[in-house]
Amino acid sequence: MSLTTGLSIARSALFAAGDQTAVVSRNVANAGNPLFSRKSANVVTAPGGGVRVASVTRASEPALVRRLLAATSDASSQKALVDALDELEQTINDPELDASPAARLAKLSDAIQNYAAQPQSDLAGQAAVRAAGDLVRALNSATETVNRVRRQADADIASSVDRIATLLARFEVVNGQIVNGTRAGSDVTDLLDTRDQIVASMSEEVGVRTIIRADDDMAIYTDSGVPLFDRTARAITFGATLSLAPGALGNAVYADGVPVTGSGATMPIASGRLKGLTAVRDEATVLYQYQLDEMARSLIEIFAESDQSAVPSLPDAPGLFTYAGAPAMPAPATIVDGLAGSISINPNVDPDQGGLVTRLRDGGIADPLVANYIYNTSGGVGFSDRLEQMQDRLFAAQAFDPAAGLETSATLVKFTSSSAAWVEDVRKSSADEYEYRNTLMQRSSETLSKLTGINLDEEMTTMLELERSYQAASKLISSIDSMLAALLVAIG
Amino acid sequence: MSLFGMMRTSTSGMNAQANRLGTVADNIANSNTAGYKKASTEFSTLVLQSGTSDYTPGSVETEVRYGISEQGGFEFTTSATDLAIRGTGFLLVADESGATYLTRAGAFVQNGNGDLVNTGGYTMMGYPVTGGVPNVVANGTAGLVPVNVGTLALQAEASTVGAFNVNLPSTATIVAAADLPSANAATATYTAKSSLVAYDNIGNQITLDVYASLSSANNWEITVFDQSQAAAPGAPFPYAAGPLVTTTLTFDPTTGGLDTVLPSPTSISIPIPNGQTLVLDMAQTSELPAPYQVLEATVDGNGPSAVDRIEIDDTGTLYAVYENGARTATYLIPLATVVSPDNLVPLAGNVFVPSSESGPLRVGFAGTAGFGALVPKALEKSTVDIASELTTMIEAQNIYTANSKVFQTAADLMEVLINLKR
Repeated sequence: MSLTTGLSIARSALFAAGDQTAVVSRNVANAGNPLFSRKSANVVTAPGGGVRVASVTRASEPALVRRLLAATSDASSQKALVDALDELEQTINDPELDASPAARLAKLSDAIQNYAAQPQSDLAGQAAVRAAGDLVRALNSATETVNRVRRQADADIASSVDRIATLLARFEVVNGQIVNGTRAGSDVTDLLDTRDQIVASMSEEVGVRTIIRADDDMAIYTDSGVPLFDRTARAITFGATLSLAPGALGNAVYADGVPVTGSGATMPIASGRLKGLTAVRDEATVLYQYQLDEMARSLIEIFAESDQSAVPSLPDAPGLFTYAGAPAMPAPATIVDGLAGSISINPNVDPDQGGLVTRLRDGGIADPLVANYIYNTSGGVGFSDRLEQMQDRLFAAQAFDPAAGLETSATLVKFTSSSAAWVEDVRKSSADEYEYRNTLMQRSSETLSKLTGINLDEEMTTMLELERSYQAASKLISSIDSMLAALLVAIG
Repeated sequence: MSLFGMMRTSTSGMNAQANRLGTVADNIANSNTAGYKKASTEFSTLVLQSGTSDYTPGSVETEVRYGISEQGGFEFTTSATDLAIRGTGFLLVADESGATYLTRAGAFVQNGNGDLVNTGGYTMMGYPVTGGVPNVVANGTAGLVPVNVGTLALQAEASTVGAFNVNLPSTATIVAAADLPSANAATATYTAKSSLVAYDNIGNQITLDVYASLSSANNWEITVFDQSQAAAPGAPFPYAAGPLVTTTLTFDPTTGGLDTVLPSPTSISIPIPNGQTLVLDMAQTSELPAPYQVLEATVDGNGPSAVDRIEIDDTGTLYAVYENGARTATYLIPLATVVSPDNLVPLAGNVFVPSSESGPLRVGFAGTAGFGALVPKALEKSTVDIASELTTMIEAQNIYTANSKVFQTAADLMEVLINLKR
């Protein structure tokens, strides 16, 4: 050991302290950045004395990150479902406006009862037909809303798939830089932060699992095990459907050629926005459409007119409510896709379309030219039997298709309110689930931030220590300098 | 005669100290030269035959020594081609004529031809390893070529080994024999699918579709297809070409691992089209009542890519690092030593040549017996210590003055003697 060696060691101490200070400044500068993880410089003794910064590492908690990814996927899956159900709920079951099918049905029932009490009143008749029109419009607009939600979900799936593809392309670049940097031993900690952020964004769209391999190379799989990235990004494809017919299912999303969403999925994903959107498009809205269609079919059936001849020869035909398939009746207890969208008021009874309101009381809506459907054969204005019959049938049990997911035998009024309750129930449970998942995500995120984020106090303490060691090293240099100066003075 | 003797002796003393001051001057001048080994002077007496009654002073002889085996300190740099040696050994370098020299000055930079040249203008020599294990001559420099990093070509590496370990769900439903992926029918169904990227001989990426299907209880058929042969992206079956390989793994239901009694195959060998046989290790694959999950998926090899930079490790292997991150050993940088390094002859440019006293050259590699280790990204500093040089200088100055005093005394006495005769 000599003075020269001492000098060079002191100099290496200055360099190391400088490098460490740079790392501390990076931490302090990014203190407000939630995506930044704490960096630390690792100092080692250099061979032959001295010190150097061997590497920069970052605080990471792989297990916590995994949990956060899973929580994010679960939360965004529920979020997609809740958003769609909220929309269905707001537009269909608005209690303020009384515009829901259930409320409209109750009004129709009241109007018919009122008409039956004063069958001679044209006003009461008009009110009843108007109430029927309102109910038809409620069913039509509900169908439209369901369709819109479904179309939106399909478009959202397309944009979600696009986003995943974009993220995978970015991931490929960053991952390549990390692998190169790790092999070269350079500082890749900022890139690792970026990569984590990309994976976190991806986990919003689809549930992912990651594997870290040699040289920090990362492979991404969906939570069902389909590769999304393994050395290269895999294709993720989806064909959007511009108009989804009621009851028809949309296309599946393919990852690496494997269907991962929908009923035909070989390896279905378990979480993520894609999962939630697919559930909206192919499950919740489809089921609700079934229920609306069953309401419409039931209405047509209840208000159908039958042959009043002594020996009936003609089949039943749609009365007050009709649809595109008239004069044939829809098959009993069988869903007709899109019926709630095509149900309408029979023009024969609608004064706005040149019909006669009295046909509601007297019959003959199905075909005014055929006498078989006339109930009021005597033509008296006090005839209320037909109206009472309608009222009775409204409150009689009907058969419903079990595929609608509600009662198979119930009054229409009960079925309609069950449907509303079902929407509310599904929405409520999804919202609760979302609340829970979201809380879980927030907690994981907070814990992660606490463990890997920047703590300014800690950084300041480190800086003080560095300042001291820098001062000590400079002191050492000035001492050695004065020792050499003494020697030079001796030479004179 | 002893007065003249005195004058001669003190002159030789002054000469000796002048030599010593010369080495000090050289040392101080080179106190910042990387790889410089400090010179020092040792003295020996030259005694003339003297009787018992009179003394004939002799003189002093200077011998210059070089502390070539002394280890210098390290100075760390950021250049990947800076090399220092910790312990015994020298780097082999050559001048324009091709003559080989030894040096510890490792500040190499790439010149216009792609050769690595140090500050003294000497080219780094090494053994090329691209053609296989180099033929090293232990006592000579045959087979050494200038290390050239300018012409490292695009390079591809075919895949040969990999690992693919998954958990296969024991709860899966059995796939009918006619629908197994191996039958390559349009109706093919499978339990799980994954894909792996492998490389053929010229570095094309081949994506392999790996299907796992439960063919009968505890028997999983692993079928591998070339994805480029798929019928359509969403509906790959039937592939234009049949499966590359089909292997059935049998699991032990008591342990959930591969059956060791039967025994079940633990790997699958995939003949890569226009490539090597890829042996995919599946020994850690399990069959447990949990969802399908990929636990490990690695395949070696890389596609063609250009050299991004070079790296030298502590054994002297020079790696070409490609843009895709792969590293390929390109040169082996040998170390050389002699029996007595301190007797090497120093030449300009921090190089040394063996002499008859130093013993013959011995060539080997860093980290092997008798050789030190290479320290990449570092330079060996000069072994000169300013403080000790300055003290040497003070000492030499004093001794020189003392010698001159002896000469002056002899001259004075001579004058007295001459003045005896008036």
